[in-house]
Formats: sequence, structure tokens, C-alpha cells
Amino acid sequence: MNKNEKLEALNKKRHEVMLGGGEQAIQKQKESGKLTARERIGLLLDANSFNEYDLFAQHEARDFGMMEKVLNGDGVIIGTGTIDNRPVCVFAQDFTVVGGSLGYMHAKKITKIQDVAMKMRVPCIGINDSGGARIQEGVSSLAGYGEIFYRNTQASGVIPQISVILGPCAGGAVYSPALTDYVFVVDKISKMFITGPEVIKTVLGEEISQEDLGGARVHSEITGNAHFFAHDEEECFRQIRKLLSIIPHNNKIAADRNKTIKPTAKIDINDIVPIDPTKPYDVRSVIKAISDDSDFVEVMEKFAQNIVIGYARIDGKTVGFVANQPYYLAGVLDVDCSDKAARFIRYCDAFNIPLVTLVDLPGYLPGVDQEHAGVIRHGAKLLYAYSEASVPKITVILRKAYGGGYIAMSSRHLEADFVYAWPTAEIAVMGPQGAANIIFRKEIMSAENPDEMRKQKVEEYKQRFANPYVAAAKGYVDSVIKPAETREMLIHSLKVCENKAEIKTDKKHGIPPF
Amino acid sequence: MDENKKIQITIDDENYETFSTPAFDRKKKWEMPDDNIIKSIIPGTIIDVMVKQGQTVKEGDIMLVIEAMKMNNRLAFTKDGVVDKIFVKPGDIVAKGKELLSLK
Repeated sequence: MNKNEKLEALNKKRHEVMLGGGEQAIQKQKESGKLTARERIGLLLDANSFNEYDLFAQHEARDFGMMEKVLNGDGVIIGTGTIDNRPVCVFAQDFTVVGGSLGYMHAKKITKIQDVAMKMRVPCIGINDSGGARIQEGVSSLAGYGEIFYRNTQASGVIPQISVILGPCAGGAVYSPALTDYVFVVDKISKMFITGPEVIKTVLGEEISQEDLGGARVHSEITGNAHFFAHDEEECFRQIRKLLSIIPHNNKIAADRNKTIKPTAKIDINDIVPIDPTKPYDVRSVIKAISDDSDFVEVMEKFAQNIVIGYARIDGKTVGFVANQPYYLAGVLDVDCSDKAARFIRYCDAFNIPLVTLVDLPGYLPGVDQEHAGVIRHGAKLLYAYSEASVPKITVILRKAYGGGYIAMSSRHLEADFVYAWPTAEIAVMGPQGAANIIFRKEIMSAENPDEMRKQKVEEYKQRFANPYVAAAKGYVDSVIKPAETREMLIHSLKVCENKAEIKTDKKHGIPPF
Repeated sequence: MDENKKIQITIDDENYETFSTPAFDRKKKWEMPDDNIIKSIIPGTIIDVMVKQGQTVKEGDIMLVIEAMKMNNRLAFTKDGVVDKIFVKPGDIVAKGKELLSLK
């Protein structure tokens, strides 16, 4: 072969392998409403920025007639590329090649790109579309999964790890996404479960569709396994690019600083929060009213909606917001929202993202189901995460902050750096009704008109305690501010916190209650 | 947001107006357990029922065998009593929490 022939041979070989499972399989993939692995990489990365590795990888399996089988790329595509001109690592399982099943070489390719991501300190994005372990390869496939999980764990808190579920992801395969930081799902395409509908039917006689068992909605709303929900694959990749534009790409560098853009929200911040603490409103309006360009990237939007978490920029710099959401379940703390917020706080702490906490909550959700679901154990995660976090912690108490909920929501007592309160804040052990009923029980019971007396005592309590000034008098609140001053106070406080010293202890790591 | 139900949550005698979430809508109401009703602790298939209606049983007696996770599990009574009703027969596939039999 002369040089030209060799070049031609390479072209031909590349073309063949890049077809994955072949035209027919690609057709089938499209018919099932899915994009191909290569199209997905194209949507994720900057145009023409993808460089592929191990295109010519081959499996070494021998049993069950595998020797004769050539599996292009062994069912997975790996490489590096850029998003907004910053490097990232990617792997994408190719369902057209034996259902994207995971054999040992397939796993080796994934762990190779994980290692590159870790060495180069760049985000790692995994696109999952696989029927599961390649049974013919036996324990080698299991080994492959294990090696991926190990790397997921080692990379946790060092680089952002993103899992995109664009097809089935079943059995052991689900645990790599579960170990990563962000799971993206797409309506009607994503399916995640440990045991599928067939097994459930055999064992239990219960019929359930893949969608109802582990579809995108289920994981976004019920299980909390997914962090971002999209209606189609294009939207999903836009969401990933957006997220990566606002979070740091490793734990040693800050997120890109943007130009400071004033909030665009048309709503007057003074008008958002009703003065009556029993009335709902959407706390995201407050977040938007104080964030640059009113741009808020909400994480886990559909799960445990009684707490809102996500990223925004203030004065050009990324912050993580944690906010009680009175619109849903009165913004109470419960098992799910404590878990959701705690993990987010730990993420922000690991990646040096300052935390801004907006407080408006009546306390913990009462009920047998919550107690039995372990609200003590899960609620403790929130206390742990806030206490442990050494990033700048700024708290704004918007309205009510009652009881244990007040303590948990980044209070001064958990070493928040600056605590502000609006004049509408009520910092107390509980709401006026409950408190009056306990404190003035005798007076109310023995009164000629108990209802009238109760009313009077509730009013008395409100006057005395339902305000921010009792806490301010003790220095638990640093300043009572007008809503309109909030953004400027945050900008200033974040500036003051810029070189916050980290308290180092000699412990190896703490033992959070999970 | 509008698909969510308007609800009221009461905490410390204070009634809060708010909206429900999908997970909140799905939660089951707690019921006081009745130790005369024996429920399956695992999903599986009933292999054998060892007792009859009206039979007097003692703590430790085997009531039935259920195959679950490829194991034959022998279920024993945890208290003395008389078998009141039997809700399953060999071959039945039962879910976790399914009532198996009751005592009186």
C-alpha cells in the first residue's frame, strides 16, 4: 500500500466503525424516537470540537460465539470536546451496537475517559443508552461496572459528573448515574430501574409500564433520582450546556465570571411576599428579583418542591440558592427536601460556590408517615451539610422562621457568615397561634370567653415576638434590611467573604447521617 | 404549577394555604397495625398452606411456605390463636403487604 492507499484505508475503516450497529439499527433507533450516539455528542459539544479515542477498540470475549462477532467501538463512543470553548470529557453508549450492552472493553473505554477527565480536571458527561450488562461476558461486565462506580466516587467533589439517561438504564447500570452529580432525563425516552416490568410481572403478577415504573417523570417527581427534566433531547443538551456555563469545571477554579447584569424581573421585590405568613407565594420570584439578569438555573425543579435549589449569578459570580418554597407544602422541611437540599449544599461546598439561603418556613411537616420515613435521620442531613459547609454562607430571612426549621436553615448558630432579615420576618419557636395556646393555656381556659381571650393573647404574642427584632437584639440577625436592599447587601457580603478562611481540622472526614 | 392541588397544612395550630406535590399526593395514610392479620413481608408465590380454618395454632407453628427470591420461606405464627380466615392458596402470587390469613 502506498501512502494514499493507507489514508484511504483509514477513511474506510473509520467510516465503517462510525456506523455503529449499521444502517438498519440506526433506522430502528430513530424509529424509537431517539437520536444516535453521534448526533447526541454533536448536540452536546461545540461544533466540530469532538475528538474520539478508541474508535477501533475490540472486545476479547470468547464464549457463546462472541469470537466471531465484531462490535463496532464495542458499543460506546468516548472522547474529548469543548462546551463554550472549555474542554470536557464525554462517553456515549451506542444502542445500535448490541443494545449498547456493557462488556469489559466497553467499560474499559468508559473508565479511560473518566481517568482523562480526572487527570485533566474537566467535567465528565456520560450518555447512557444501554440494555445493561453483556451477559455473554459474564463477570467481566460486572467488573466493568464496578470500575466505573469506583471512578465516579473518586471524582466526586473534584470534577462535575453528569449523567444523561437517553434510553434504558437498568440493573446495576443505574448506580453510575446515581453516584454522579446531575442526572438529566427526557420525557418518554429515559427509563431507569433496578428490576424491570418483566421481572415484576413474573414475581408479583403486577403489570406496570416502563414509563410508570421508572420513566423521566417518575424520577423527576417521585424518586428524586433525576435533577433535570426535558421534553426532548435537544432541550436536554441545551440544559447541560447551560448548567456547565454556570458551575465551576473543577474544585480548584471558580466558574467563569460574567458581566454584572441587573435583574430584569418586572415584579417589584416589595410586592412578592404577602405579609400574612399563612399565604403562599413563589420564592423563585424573590431569587429572580435579586439575581443577575433574573436568570436562575433550578436543580430538581419537580422533586420536593417545598425547597428550591439552584444556581444564579450575583455581581457576575455564581452562587447556590437554597430557599424554602411556601408555594408548595407551605415550604415545610420534610424527608425529601432535607435530602435534596443537603446534597446540593455539599456540592456547593465541594466546588467553592457561596450559598445564599432564603428562609420562610413554618417548621417540619408533622405526621406518622414523616416520622416513620425517618425525618429525624434525613432532617439531620440538612443540619450537617450547613454546619460542615465552609463556603461563604449568607442567609436572608424573608418571613417566618419557626422552631427547628429556623435553626436548620443556615442560621447564625450553624455559623452562617451574615444573617439578614426583612422587616416581615418572624423568628420564633412557633407561630403565634400555637405559642399562645401553650403559653396562655390557663388564661384562655379559665376566661369567660376563651375564643376572645385566645385572640387577644395571639395578638399579644404577635406584637412581642413575631418580628425580627428579638433575634436582632441578640445578634443572631446582623441587620434588618428592606427587601429592596437585599441585592446590594448580598453583593457586599459576598465581596467581604471572598477570602474567607477555611477552618481546617485534622479529621479524615466526617460521618454525615446518610 | 397549576396542575397541583390547593391544600391546607396545619402546623402548631396555624393553617397554611399552599399547594400539593406529586409525591405528597401519593403518600399512603398510616393505619394502626392489627397483629391478628398476617401480611406477606416479601413478594412471592405461595407454595403450601399448612393450616386450616378454625385450627388452633401456637406461636412458632408454621402457617405457610412462600417462595421468594428463589428461596422457600417458612412463615411461622408469632402468637397463639385460632385461624379465622385464609386469604391465599398454593400457586397464588402475592405482593408485599398482601393479607395472608387472620387469627381470632
